[in-house]
Amino acid sequence: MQTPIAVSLGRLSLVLLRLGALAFGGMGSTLALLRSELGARRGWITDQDVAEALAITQTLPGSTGVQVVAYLGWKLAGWPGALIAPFSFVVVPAAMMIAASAALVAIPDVPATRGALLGIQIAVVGILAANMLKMARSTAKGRILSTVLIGGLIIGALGSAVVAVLSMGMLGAMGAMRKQRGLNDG
Amino acid sequence: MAELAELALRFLMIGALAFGGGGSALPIVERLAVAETHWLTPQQFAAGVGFAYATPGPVLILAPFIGYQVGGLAGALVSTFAVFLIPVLLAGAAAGIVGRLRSATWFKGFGSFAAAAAIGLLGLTLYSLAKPLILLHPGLLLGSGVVFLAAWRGISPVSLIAGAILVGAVSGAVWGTD
Repeated sequence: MQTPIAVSLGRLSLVLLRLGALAFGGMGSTLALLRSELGARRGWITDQDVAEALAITQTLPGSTGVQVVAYLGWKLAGWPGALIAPFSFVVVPAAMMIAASAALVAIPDVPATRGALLGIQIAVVGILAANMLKMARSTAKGRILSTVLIGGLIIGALGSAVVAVLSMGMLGAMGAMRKQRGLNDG
Repeated sequence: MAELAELALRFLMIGALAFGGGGSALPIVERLAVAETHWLTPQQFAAGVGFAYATPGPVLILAPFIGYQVGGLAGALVSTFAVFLIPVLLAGAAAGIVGRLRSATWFKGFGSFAAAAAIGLLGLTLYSLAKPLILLHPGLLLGSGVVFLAAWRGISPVSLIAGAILVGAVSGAVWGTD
C-alpha cells in the first residue's frame, strides 16, 4: 500500500471543482483531463495511478469517472480526500442540472419551448442508441457476454431492471467460481 | 420530509446497482425514479437525460435534475449525495485495500455479467424514450437516426443537444408541434 501524498484538502477541492466544470464528453475525456491536470501539470499522480483507479473502479457499481476521482483523492489525501474530491468534482455539473430542472418548470409553455423539448427528445434517442452500441462493443465482448446482454434485456422486459442486473451478476459470480475451481483441480 | 427520505433511499439504491457505470444505469433510474414513482413525466425524463449528456460530469448527474422536481433545492442536494455516496465509499475502500475485491474471482464475474445485463437493459430505456415519439409521428425517428449517426461518428452530445434545441424551437415556433 502506498502512503497518501499530502495535498491540502482546500487545494484538492478547488482543483476538482474546476475539472468538474470542464469534464464534457464522458469518461474518455474525464480521464484525459485527470491525467493532464493532476498528473502532467501538477505531478500529484502518475498515469499508472489513473490506469489502476480505472481498472478497479470499473468492476464496482457507480459512475466510473466519479469513482476514479474518489480513488485518486484517497491516494492524495486519504479518506477526507476520497470524499472531498468526488463531491467537489460534481458541484458544477449538479448546479447546471438544477438550473436546467428549474428552467423546465419556469419556462412558458409556448410552441417554441414545446418544439425545443421535442427536439431534445428526438436527439436523446439517437445519442442513447449510439452510446448503447459503443458500450456494448467495449464492455460486452464475446458470445457469452452478448448472450448475457440479451438475457438482461429480456428479464428487464418481463420482470424488472433490478432483478436483471442482480440475477445476471450472480450467474457471472457462479460461473467465475466454477471455472476457477476447475482450474485448481486440473 | 418523507419525500426527501424516499429520494435518498431510491438514489442510494440506484448508486449501488449501477454496474457498468452511470451510462448503463439509466434503466434503473427510469424504473426506480420515474416508472414506480411518477416523479417525472416521460418527456421530462427525456429532457433530463438530454441535459445529463450535454452537461459536464457523469450521466448520473441526472439525480439533481430529478431531485429538484421532487423536493426543490433540498431534493436536488439529497439525491446528488445519495446517488454518489455508495460508489464513492466503495472506490475509497478499494483504494485502501488496493483491489482485494477486484482480485476476488467471483466479484469479477459478478461485475462483468451485471454490466452486460445493464447495457442490454438500455434497450428498454431506448424503447420507452422512443415510444412517445412514435405515437406522435413515426417520422420523427428519422431525426433520431441522423443524431445517431452523428453521435456514432463522435460529434459531441453538447453540440447535438444544442442543435436539437435550436432546430426544435425554430420549427416549433414556425409550424407548431401539433
